[in-house]
Amino acid sequence: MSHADNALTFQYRLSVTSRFCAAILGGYFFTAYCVSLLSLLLPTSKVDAVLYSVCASILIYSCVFIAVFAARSLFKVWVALIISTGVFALFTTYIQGSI
Amino acid sequence: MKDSFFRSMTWLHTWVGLLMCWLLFLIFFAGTISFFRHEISLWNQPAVHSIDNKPTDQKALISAGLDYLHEKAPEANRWWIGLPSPRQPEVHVSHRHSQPDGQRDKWIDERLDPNTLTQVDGIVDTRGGNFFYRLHFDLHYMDRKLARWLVCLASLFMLIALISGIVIHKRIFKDLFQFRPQKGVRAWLDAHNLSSVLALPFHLMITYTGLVTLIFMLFPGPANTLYEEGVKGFRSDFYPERQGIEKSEQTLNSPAFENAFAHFYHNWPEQKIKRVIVDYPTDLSATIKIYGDNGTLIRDEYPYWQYSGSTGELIKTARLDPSGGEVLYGGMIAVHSGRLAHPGLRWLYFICGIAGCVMIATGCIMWAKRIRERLKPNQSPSFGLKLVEALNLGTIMGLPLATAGFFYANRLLPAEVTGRADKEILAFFLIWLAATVTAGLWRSRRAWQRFAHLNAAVWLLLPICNALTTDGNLITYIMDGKWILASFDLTFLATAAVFYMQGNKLGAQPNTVKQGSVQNRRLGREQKA
Repeated sequence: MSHADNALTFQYRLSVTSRFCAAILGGYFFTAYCVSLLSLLLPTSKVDAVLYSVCASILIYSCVFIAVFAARSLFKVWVALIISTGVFALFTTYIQGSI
Repeated sequence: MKDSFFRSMTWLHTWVGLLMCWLLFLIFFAGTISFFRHEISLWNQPAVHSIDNKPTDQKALISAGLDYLHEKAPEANRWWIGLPSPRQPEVHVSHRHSQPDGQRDKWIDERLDPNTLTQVDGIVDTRGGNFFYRLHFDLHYMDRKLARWLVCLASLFMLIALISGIVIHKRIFKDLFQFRPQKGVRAWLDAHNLSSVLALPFHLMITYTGLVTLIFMLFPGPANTLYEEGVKGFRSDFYPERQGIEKSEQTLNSPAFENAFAHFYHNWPEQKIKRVIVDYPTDLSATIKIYGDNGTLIRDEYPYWQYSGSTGELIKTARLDPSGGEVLYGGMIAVHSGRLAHPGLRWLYFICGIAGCVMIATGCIMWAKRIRERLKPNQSPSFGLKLVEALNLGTIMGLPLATAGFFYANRLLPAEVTGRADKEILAFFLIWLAATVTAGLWRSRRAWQRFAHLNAAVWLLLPICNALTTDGNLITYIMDGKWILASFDLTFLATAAVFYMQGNKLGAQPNTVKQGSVQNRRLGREQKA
């Protein structure tokens, strides 16, 4: 930490901000689409499907959050988040359309 | 950014922890106090202290409550009867009235003594424990929605800080038995580890389930996906009792309330009742809603029976046999709120909550201390460090002081003051503000010591203030076996003792760390100034 403190370059600040955005916003949308898809896939009653998915959401969100900070390449993190969120959204729309 | 998982987690733990620590401290502090929400409401209402809290006949109380409301408020659009519990001796009989011009309906709350079935006199206007309960997630003087989003974000950061904290904790077991007082920052680190690790299951549980309580605001996705009307549609499916009832505008000539209750008592003789609500009691559409008591079951929502007031027929029931999802979701909320807890478990909740406050407080203090120690002799502290130090002192010492102020305001404000409940709350916030402003100007070790001693004095005098302004005191409470009220005085005294010892510790000569003695001498000078 101390080395970073001494050299708070613009690039360092930018990468920290970007990582926090990826974790908070990216993680949020990832989780939101993930649990929406999950609720469609669960073979239970509608009420139960909603309740199970929302209860799992925090677990998913925190895992993504940690993973974003653990990963080395920030670029890969963003790419992975955007692609997976897109896939979840696509599947959700597809299943909803076909029902 | 960082070369290893371990280091990135250390970094994450430090910064995620710091960014939200004061809001988190407030949330933990208010939440911990809220475990005794009903007890505080009792303490704040001296008029009900004399009521004997013994098991009562629910049937007699319900019919007395209905008779009272029938006489007192036949034109109300809702009656509400809250039955006594070990935590609340009186019967709540409230009625709600429609207001002209689309204004919000007006509630009138009254209380009955369950032993004499007469109205309790001398009820004062106070929010009681509900103030801390609301403060815990709605904050105050602030838009409710914004407040809840902030609380959500802070809780998420807390969860992340906990997880990354576990990761960076290589010697989790060894640290349990390690406390090195008188060692500067090391001692703070040990205190931080001890309070975190000992109550770790509690911290994880309370943070996760806390987020679950606000989950439909945070993640409405699943409900929006499965229901056309979104969360609203889900709620009407999940809470059938919340569906509105159409008023018929025809007078109810022959109410069948007795038949309804007779049916209920006959079919569910063992079921304890939590509350009874009657909608449009004198209209043909009158509806009786009975909520069962969950007792110590790990369930949040109450089982529910709905009867017609005109025919006495059972119309619908809910949650008599909860599904898997309901058990999971309701169970999480139930363990969070701790309503299920008997007194012993409630104290354990409280102590774990205090450990959480200590964990957050020691974390904030440690951050500031480390940055201070790292300052070069001729380097002046940055604005950020000063801000952190001021907020630390203002929050950690200011909140207990403000809480004592809230209790004093309850005892000292005259009963006839208008907006009395709001004035109690204003006292709380004014004291907190004053403490934070003072901390901004004066944040030395000596200031911490003065604040600790001030807290000790204030909490010590609280039982005396209570004895002078009410009919009871610690000795009569113990003699009459009023343990809830006695616990208040004893807790006040224990709080005073803790602050007194803390103050004395702070007054002792600060321990200088051997390395970097120059900066420490400089620090000492600054503190003396």
